[in-house]
Amino acid sequence: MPSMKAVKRRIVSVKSTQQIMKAMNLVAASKLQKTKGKLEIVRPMFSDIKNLMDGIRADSDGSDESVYAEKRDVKNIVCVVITSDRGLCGSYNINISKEALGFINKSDKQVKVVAIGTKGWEFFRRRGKDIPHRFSFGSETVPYEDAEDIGHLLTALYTSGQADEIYIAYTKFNTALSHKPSVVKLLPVGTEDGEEEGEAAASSLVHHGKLMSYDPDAGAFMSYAVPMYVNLFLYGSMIESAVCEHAARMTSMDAASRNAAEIIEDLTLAYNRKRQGMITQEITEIVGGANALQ
Amino acid sequence: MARLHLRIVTPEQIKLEEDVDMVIMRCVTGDMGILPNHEACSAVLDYGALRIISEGGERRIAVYGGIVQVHDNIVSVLANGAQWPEDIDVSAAQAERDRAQSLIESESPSTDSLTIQRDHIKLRRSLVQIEVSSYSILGSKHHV
Repeated sequence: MPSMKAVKRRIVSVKSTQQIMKAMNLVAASKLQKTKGKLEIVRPMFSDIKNLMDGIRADSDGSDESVYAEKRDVKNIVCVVITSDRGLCGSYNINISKEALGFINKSDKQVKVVAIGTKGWEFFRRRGKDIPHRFSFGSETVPYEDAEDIGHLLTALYTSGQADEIYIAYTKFNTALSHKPSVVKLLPVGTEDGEEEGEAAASSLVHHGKLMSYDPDAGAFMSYAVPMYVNLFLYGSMIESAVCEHAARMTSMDAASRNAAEIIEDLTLAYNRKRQGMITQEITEIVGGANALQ
Repeated sequence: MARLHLRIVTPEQIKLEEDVDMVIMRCVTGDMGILPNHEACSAVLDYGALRIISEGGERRIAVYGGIVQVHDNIVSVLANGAQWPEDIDVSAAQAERDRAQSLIESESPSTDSLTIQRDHIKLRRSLVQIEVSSYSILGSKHHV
């Protein structure tokens, strides 16, 4: 049995940990609100550009001389994995890393990993994966410039033939409690997989109802629009991931501080029991001593 | 009379969403003017001023490249970045221009293409900022 002093010391230490977790919970909540605001802006913009891309694909007859339109034999695949830089956010990082790992193991081609966020980098380095590029991920602010820089790199990988397909693994935000780790294809733009994409293409056709004219022409337009699409896609998924990270941290910190409260309750009970035991013992001793005197 | 519904969005902000009479923008192939009932089209935007003509007044906004889509009297501009004249810090833009110019002059054939590209982008951006910022007073009476 630990001494009373030891129990007291534990109570104090658990209490201070609880304070920290409560503070982290609040900080995550405010960051969540901030990034969520960004998400609301980037989502409609992203769907705009997606419709546009689907429209081009529907309008072009495949004769355009754009590097993004050509068909290739897939040899090299690059998978971008977005995780957080810091831990203490529950199963957030492990969920997305495992989803990406499952995707990589399923593929019979060589898959290289581009890690955005330290946690994902550590995960894939431990498993001996080839990680040619690595970035840290400032999930507090998520500046568009960061996404632009990484996007330029990805576009360069694709156009130079170092990557024939680029996938992106990120966590999609539904509600504060529901996040979905997913792997989606970034490049080439919207070919096969995904029933969602097919639907979007159909709706964009219905939406416009007539052929678009492109300035300068569809091919040149595409060679400009695709890099922008890549940047936006990347930015959007970084924002989604950041929102999920903050939400995950918020809920896990909330759970942790509730656990701490439980521990404190148990410890306090143990402490009081001990204290009472000591008082009882003292009384017994006094009474015993007084009886002996009579 | 039909009007144009203009929407300018950047990844970080919705810059503008309102009905206007005419839009003139700097595309990679030259300036393009859009009036109501324009045919459906998409174009690539260059770095430059986007002019908005509405109720007899004109405003300008600096646009740092992007794409524009026009259909059914909706003009949606997806820009990499955009700034109103009054949000531009002219002295910072001038400093940026001088810095970018000296960077470009110091480039050698061995400089990697990404750096060169980035320096040129900086230069164009600052030049557009300087150009557009001069319209701050003219435009402000119509801009809320």
